Amino acid sequence: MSDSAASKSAADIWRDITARAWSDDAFKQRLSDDTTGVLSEYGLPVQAGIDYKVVEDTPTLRNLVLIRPSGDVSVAQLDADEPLTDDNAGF
Amino acid sequence: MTGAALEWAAVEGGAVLVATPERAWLHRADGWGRPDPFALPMRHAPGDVAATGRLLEGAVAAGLAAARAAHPDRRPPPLTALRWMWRLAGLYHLTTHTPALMREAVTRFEIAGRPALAAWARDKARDETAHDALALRDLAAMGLDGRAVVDLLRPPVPMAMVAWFRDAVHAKAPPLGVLAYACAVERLAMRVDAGYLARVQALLPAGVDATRCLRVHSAVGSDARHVEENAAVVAALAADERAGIVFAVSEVARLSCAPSADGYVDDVRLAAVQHTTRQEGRPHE
Repeated sequence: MSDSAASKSAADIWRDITARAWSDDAFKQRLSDDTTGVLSEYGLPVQAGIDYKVVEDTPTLRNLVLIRPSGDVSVAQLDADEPLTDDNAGF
Repeated sequence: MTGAALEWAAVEGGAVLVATPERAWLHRADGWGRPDPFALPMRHAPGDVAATGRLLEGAVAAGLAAARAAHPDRRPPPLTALRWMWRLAGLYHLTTHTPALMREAVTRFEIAGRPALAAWARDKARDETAHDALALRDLAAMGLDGRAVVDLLRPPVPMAMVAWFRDAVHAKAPPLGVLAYACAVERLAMRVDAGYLARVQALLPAGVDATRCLRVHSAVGSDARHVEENAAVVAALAADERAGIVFAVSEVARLSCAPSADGYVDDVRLAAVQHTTRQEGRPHE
């Protein structure tokens, strides 16, 4: 973890990584080859079981990230496994 | 799908709820490494009624999920006839303040220059009048002095919800939390379907009709229509007002499911109240 990581937000750190990759080809290559390692080194909150991949735009390619929602949410889903108990009448 | 109705707002638990007329999703932004299309608050107005309905429903679900996540060890006792008395006391306290508080909200909406919301609150005050009497009748049907029961039993979750409602009425005008409260409580009531009512009825002695209040506040009562009406009222508001209401809905839903710090009332105390308030010549367990 870099010295400054503790006082910076994850967004701040990612900005630092981006700026360094723009100016340091070796670092950019390492970021591409060992993304999780670099992110961890900088103190970013990488999650176990998740692969991280860096993609780079080019003059003729613009990468778009389609984020994934955590899942549908509705009250009906919660009703399905609701036993008859002391405090579940909706109030 | 260009131009499809889309609504989003933050909810309890640190997530953003995203809704279309058909579905709602929870979205947890990690805040780094990629742009988040839902990081900025929605700005369009009015909202889409169907998507707003999904958003409000999702907010209730998110609030319930947040409460469960915060209290994973929650083990509410099984419902029994004795504990139904406790629940009826809660329904009484939940309903008895509504008309007066809604009338206060009418005045506050009028002062704020929001006649449509004042009219909505006026209708609510009228619709909810005398529902507390239903809970008292239910208690009487169980052979109990309803007034005495509700004097002795003040279930903490309904009392906390009423306190939230009261604070919302008295908050900075316009008191939009009042809409959030109604949206949450009336959608929560919809969780009570005919099957649930039958299961409660089966706990009670034959011939005892003590689910009047629950029936009115259920999917078979008037609350089904109210949920749709509420979505239309909320959808007509400015985007920041809609977003505030959605968060507040999740807050009320969380409150409705959060166990009391004192734990669950025990059967010994309930039996003592039942004994004290039993009326001679009336049916009882």
